[in-house]
Amino acid sequence: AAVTIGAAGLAACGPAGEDDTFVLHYTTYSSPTSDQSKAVQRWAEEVEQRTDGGVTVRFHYSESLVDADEAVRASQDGRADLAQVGSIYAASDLSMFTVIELPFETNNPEVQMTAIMRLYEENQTYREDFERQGVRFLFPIPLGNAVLGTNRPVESVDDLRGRSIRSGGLMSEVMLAVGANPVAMTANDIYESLERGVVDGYTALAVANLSTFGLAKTTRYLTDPGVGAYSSSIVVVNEEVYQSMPDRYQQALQAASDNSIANGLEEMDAAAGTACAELKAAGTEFGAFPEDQVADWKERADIAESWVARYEQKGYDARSVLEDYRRIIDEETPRSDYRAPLAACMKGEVR
Amino acid sequence: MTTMTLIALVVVVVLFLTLLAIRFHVGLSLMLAGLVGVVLLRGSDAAVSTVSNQPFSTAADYSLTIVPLFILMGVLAVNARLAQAGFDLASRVLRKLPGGTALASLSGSALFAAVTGSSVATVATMARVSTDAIVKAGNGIRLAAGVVCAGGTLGVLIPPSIVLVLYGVVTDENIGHLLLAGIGPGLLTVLAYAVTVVVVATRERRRAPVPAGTAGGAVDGSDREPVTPPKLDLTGFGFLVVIFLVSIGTIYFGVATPTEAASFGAMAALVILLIRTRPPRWLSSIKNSIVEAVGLTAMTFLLMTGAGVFTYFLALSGASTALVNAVLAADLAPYLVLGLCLVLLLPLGMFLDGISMILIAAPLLHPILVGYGFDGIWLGVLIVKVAEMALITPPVGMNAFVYSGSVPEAGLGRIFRGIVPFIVADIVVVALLVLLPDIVTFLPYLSSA
Amino acid sequence: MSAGRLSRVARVSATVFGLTAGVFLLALVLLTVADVGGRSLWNQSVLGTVDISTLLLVAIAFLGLASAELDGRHVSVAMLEERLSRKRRVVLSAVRAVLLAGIGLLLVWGLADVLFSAVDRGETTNDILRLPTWPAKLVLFVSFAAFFVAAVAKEIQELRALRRNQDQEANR
Ligand code: NA
Ligand code: NA
Repeated sequence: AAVTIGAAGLAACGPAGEDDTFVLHYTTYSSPTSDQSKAVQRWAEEVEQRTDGGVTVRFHYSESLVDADEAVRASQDGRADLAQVGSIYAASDLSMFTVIELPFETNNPEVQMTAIMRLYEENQTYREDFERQGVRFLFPIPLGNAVLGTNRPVESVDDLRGRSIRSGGLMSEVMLAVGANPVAMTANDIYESLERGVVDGYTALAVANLSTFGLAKTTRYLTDPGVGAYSSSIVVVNEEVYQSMPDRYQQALQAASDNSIANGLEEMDAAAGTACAELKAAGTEFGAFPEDQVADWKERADIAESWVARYEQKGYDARSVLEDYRRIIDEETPRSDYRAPLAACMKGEVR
Repeated sequence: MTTMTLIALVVVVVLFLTLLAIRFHVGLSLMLAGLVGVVLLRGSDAAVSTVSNQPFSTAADYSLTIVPLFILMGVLAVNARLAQAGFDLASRVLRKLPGGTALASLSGSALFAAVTGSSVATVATMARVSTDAIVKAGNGIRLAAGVVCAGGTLGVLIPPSIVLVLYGVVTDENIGHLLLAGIGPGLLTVLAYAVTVVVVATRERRRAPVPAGTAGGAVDGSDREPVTPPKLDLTGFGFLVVIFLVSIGTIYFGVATPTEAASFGAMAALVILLIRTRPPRWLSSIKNSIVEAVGLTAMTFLLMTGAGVFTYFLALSGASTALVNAVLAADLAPYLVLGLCLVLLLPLGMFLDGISMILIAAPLLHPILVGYGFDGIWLGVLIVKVAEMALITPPVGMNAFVYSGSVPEAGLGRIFRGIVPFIVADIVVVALLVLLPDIVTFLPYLSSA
Repeated sequence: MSAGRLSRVARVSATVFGLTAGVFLLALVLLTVADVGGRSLWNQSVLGTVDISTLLLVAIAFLGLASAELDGRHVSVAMLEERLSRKRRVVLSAVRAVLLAGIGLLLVWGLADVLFSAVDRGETTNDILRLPTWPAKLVLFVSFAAFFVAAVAKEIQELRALRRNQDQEANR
């Protein structure tokens, strides 16, 4: 979309200000106080420091600038410069990035983060998606492993049969595979729907999200379903804006991005720690599905293969992306000693 | 804020007001002004993308399905003659009181409000029928104008209310809580208006005594025909209660989320319309209802789309953040800030209807006032209440214009003079809501406790 | 095409679009009631209710634009103009017609671009059904096109009526 309405537009176009200063408009669906926004705030502070105030970030939280599902296109067409892109909103624009949503692949959020980054370097198909959209990948933001909160106890996977569980994205397919009834609703509606019995439980949330939606104080049974890392998000920048920056600014952005996995995990752990303390104070009962049932569940759901098939049909070499994702997970898992928040909470290791 | 941003802000505001003044669509005025602002700040590519993506992004939001559904429910209820039923019943019950017919009109507005959220629709529906009845009963046209225009504002507080829903959408407050929160203040307003009617009617009577028997709905001096008391339509009244109970009850008893509950309300209204219509006319009455509902829906969404473009410009300019910071830095007493913000709403009613006002004002006022520690739900009800007051405050208010459209012989001067006592009542209500916030928050917090 | 012919075309398409939107609206009611009923009674939701409802809403929201315009439902502020002389009102009407045509062309062109992009990228909804979004975007394009045709035709009619009256006054 390119038309020019008068010359006035040209003078003030884009984020570049006078004498090499850049004001980057960042659009996110996260709230200002969420762990994810805090991670990006830390990135922005570091960038500002490293560039002596040459690059500043203007935050637009909670979809106040553009909707979550338009984040990629908005950072391409100039409505924003930087964007948080959630994998659940990326199916049309960054299809290959959604490989990281596949359930049962890893229980280690740090490994998932590293894989998101390494795929950008190591897999051509994955990277081309970003180039086609005119955006550059900067860094990932962790979300954590999926939890399952319920009103009544669930001891085995079969207990899910016939229950209405709030869900979303690929997690709905996971729920369908064991005969649960996935119900789509916004996270804000969960609390009341659970209280009034509109649904019997919820998933497609991580421990770190529970306090935000008032669920940490009210969830009676919290189960680790064994699905693992089920979603995540990344921050991207408009490629043209990035290229218009002097080298030292580009390096500053990259250097700050290198620190952001550690920062992101730290913020996520802090949010999860708060939720964990609240859950314990509320007397929540913790549980986890047995490993053999989870393995059986993974086989029944068979989501990875249908993911590959769906995108091969669209002309992607999706197989290579899945294989590289699995290879990187295998390589990174022994290198990480990170313990996911729910497991830590259940073991009593409150951070 | 840079000079460029300031220039852009001035240009956009002046352009917006100019477009309103030349009678351009309000929604398109917001869109065009916002578009020019984005061109100034980000260039034409971003501007064209913003405008072109806004309609889809505005409407592709599941929680907004509630908007056409509430509208449909209201239209169906009107076409099933349910508002008339409420009015007739109230006329019969209240006819012995001073201003009894005006009180009946008020009850009609309140009941009508229970099924629709539109002030303008309430006024347009009640104006002619109420005014004739009230004047016939011996009261002045001023009382009629006052009670109908003020009665119209009840529609947005008594749930279901699209304006409260939209407030929830733009501020991320809980929509279910907002709907419940409107009930207390809505009833309080009804009570305050009722007292006003009795006071005004008593004073009217003292000044110009009416011949005995006239006020009771008997014979008008010039008219030989006896005024037959309206035939009671108790079923219609019962159906009105059913619609209210279905749309609120499904939420309360955990059958449905507030978004889903709207469908049940619309379904109930549809079934009632079919019951009250003879089969040969089924198709035409459904057809008329849906076409009307769809038209009102499109009007609302065009406004929301325009407001979306305008809001994008405001966010980009950083004006809201700057405003919030400036207000916070001024270090005023919280209630003074609250008062100033609410008073600032009043002039908006000169140009805009309730929906447009909330779409423009809520994103600006909510962060400031929540920053001062006010409860977001309580604020929502207060802001909506004052925004509705703006529709009846002189010298210009939408409701007064709509009334004068239906009852041209009234004249704007007389209409506004008739409204003044009701504004006094509104001020008392707002003061009570500020002093006793529990009136607002009691029901929502009871429901979640 | 003459303005009269234009407004007849606009009237017919407005009615057809309005009725289509109405049918979608009733479908939305039935879908939600079925979904909630299934969930409450048998723990069996209608899969993808949110996906389907969201796309239905896009159509419902804007298909009625043209008929709302022709029925005079759109909100505008009349009180300032009423005080002006007829000559000035003719000018304002012309300004409005030009503005409507301008923003209409821009928006319709932009919506076409959005539609082609959705087709190109194979854009889908993000929930379980992954429905293609292009049908909804096609409806948007058509709705706004019809709306602006109706709005411009209506404005031109008003402009003509004003000028006719002006001429009559001048001849008197
Ligand atoms: Na939206
Ligand atoms: Na209402």
